[in-house]
Amino acid sequence: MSLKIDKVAKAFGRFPALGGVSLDVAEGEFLALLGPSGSGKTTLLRILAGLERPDSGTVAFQGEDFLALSARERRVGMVFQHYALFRHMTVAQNIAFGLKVRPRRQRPSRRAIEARVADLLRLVQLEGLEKRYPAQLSGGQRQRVALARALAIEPRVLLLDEPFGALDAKVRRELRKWLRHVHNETGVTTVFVTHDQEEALDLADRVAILKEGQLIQTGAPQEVYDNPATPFVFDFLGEACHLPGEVKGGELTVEGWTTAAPAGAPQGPVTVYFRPHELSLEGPEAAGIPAAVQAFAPRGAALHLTCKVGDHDIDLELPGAVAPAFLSPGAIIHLVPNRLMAFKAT
Amino acid sequence: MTTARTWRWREPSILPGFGLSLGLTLAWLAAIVLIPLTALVLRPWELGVAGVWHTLTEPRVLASLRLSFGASALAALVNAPLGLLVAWVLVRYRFPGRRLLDACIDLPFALPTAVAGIALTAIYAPTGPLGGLFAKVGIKTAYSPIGVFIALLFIGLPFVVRSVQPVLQDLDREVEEAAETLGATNYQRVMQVVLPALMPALLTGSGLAFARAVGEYGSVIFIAGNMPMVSEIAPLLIVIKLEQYDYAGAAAVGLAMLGISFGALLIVNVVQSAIARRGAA
Amino acid sequence: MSKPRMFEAPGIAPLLILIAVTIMAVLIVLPLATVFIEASRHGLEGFRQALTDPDAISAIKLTLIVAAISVPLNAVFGLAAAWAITRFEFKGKTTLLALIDLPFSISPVVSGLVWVLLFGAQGWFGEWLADHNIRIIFTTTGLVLATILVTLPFVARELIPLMQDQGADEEAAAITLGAGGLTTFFAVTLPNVKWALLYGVLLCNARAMGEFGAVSVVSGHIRGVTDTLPLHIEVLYNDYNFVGAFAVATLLAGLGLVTLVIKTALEVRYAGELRATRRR
Repeated sequence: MSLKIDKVAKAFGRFPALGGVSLDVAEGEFLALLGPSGSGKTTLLRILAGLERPDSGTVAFQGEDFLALSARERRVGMVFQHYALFRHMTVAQNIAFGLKVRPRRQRPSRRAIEARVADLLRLVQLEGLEKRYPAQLSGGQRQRVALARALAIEPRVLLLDEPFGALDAKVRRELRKWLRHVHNETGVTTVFVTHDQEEALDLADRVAILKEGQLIQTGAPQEVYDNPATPFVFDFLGEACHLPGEVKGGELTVEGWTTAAPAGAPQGPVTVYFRPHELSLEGPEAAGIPAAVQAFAPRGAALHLTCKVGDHDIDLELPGAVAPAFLSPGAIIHLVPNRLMAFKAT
Repeated sequence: MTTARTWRWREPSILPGFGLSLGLTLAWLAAIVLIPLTALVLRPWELGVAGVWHTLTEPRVLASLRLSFGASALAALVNAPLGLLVAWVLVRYRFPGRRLLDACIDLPFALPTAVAGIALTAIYAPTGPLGGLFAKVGIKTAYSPIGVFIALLFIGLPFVVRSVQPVLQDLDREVEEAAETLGATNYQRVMQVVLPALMPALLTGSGLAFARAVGEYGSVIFIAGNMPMVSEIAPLLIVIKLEQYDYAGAAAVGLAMLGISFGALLIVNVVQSAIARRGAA
Repeated sequence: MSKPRMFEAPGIAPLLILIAVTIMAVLIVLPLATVFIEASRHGLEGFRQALTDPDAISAIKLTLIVAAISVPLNAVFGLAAAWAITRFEFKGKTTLLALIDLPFSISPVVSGLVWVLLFGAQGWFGEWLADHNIRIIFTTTGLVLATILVTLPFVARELIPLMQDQGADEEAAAITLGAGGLTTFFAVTLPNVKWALLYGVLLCNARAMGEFGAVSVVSGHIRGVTDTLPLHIEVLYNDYNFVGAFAVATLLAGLGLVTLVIKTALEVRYAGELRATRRR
């Protein structure tokens, strides 16, 4: 086990940022800390970096007490959201910094440093830009320099704090692909903080979901997506529709429609969750959840449909832009979700 | 057919009052600044180029220029680390009385120069608290070039502090954290990351302090001693020449002083824009 | 505002603070304290005497008059310049701004010298003035001119960056709603800059009342007639009347302190409405 986080808690004044989080990170793993703002993910990252001290709990790195070391001693590579490049130094000087400040005994020779800088520039695909200053680079380039700088010190753990947050969508997607490639090349244990679930599911080997300072669920991206542990996770990881229902024995009833209850569903009143694109539409005479059509229109590659189920407004997004013939405003249709989850009603 | 954009010296605007406001501004500037300065620029040359050179190289004038220039440069140089320290303490630390200290920085700005002048003299005269101490060690602080230096130190410090303070305040904390995680010691972090970022502001502050010090009169004239060839400052030479009705000579010295100040400010500006071009992120 | 550093060697902070405070105390605060201490050497009576001396009273009056003329004029100039520069686009703005800042870079003595070069006995207009029996140098007029030159930039420097920052949108809206130029100026612009204007006027006034070098050159040093307060200090000092000199200095130091207090209060209270670099 590379990194062992045990019951780490931190409060800022009276605000409990982290409430006893325990998490393990395997060697070479790419872990995403995912959650909305205020969930404590950045606080946890900064505790790992040594930039904050927890109020309680321990962090062990390969058995060694990590918290006993200062930020300087930990040899973690940190990439900040706003890059934090040294603006009065060139790209090469920025990358070389971590090597140049080492005490004489541990410092590599000048030539070795130059070679390493050149290697890293190649890795981050910025050859030729050694003498540029940060002000002369684009946002995406700056972030790559920041990553190269963090990698230069051969960190034990690489920590990224919403590194693509300040970039526009297209650049973000490109950098995502490239970051994964770099991780595969270097194999360094990586912890990545983001509030963007698409990014987390795309990049990570494992996802840890936090909410209000608590760890809610961890697991491989697809697993967490398919089997969310709570309504919050379900909602956070993608679009969600929900309706009230009831489970009796092995059966689930929603608005008069009965189907087999999903495995593990609690008995009694429940809230049923399903994705707006994981269902099929059936006509007025078929079985399913009755819904009154309000409006529908094709949008891009999907069909958008708003309908009313009982008192609830449901927005659906069905793949394929062709509307079935029985769809008309005011018509009664039936919804049959392909996959649903039932959580205890609150 | 393409229409070339006609050269306009100003863009049309929907707000009124351009003529009036600009007219007023230009008229006022012309009457108060331009015309009087023109007199300064033109007057020395009635002595001819040789005459101007002769005036400026008079031993007494040379000595005064050397004193004004030298003491100002030294004071600006010494004020740089002092001002940096004070700004650092004000921005980085919290302690009781910090606000008060911050307000005190502006004291030399707010205090009329003559008031500062007599107060400094009282302190550093042989009969004064600090002057007495120095006299015991054989150093004459008042009525000497050292007195000039001390006075210029007093008026220059705020320039450095106020130039460095905002830059230090806005320094991105993350950059220092990055240095920390990359393994820099506190010393390395301050020397290699923080101070270089402050250099432009430090330079500006010192340059401003210098430019102000060269022309300073009220704060210095009382403590200087005003002995020809020893402790006469250049502005005093101007006054003396005026009293002798040597208008052209006075103007020559004034022009020389102006040149020095402007030179300093120009260098500051050039260095500033060179640095800005390099790292305006 | 940067939070206090977490990672610094213990003990460094108090040491640096101590050094900084000592520097400030010796270099900056001590002179101020000295003024009050020296002024009180002959007790309250000596103090009162120095200030009720007829020459001192004339000096006070003269200082007030000079300030009362120079400051409003430069305030109007500042408003006009700020309006022209920040509300319109035209070539030559940089030069204009440099010209406005010019008096800051000129030695006070030079600021007085230039008027003598123009209006002195051997100045450009010297003969013409003599023929028409007009005297400028060695009179109040000369003092006013010198003071105006020295304090010219103060108001403009506060208004220009602020009005630049604020942009012309509100005035433009007022115009489209039918307001005339002057109405827009008084109803929209002025209220938006009132604190910066006050701040600039405050600094302008402090400098006008305290100016020494420039007025020294153009004044005849005639006691009771052409001596402002700072000049009167010099007169008393050269007469070896130190207590008197410091007593008068106390007045000006008091003015300086009041200016500082109001200035700081404005900076703290109205940070958003002063130019950016003033906000603390």
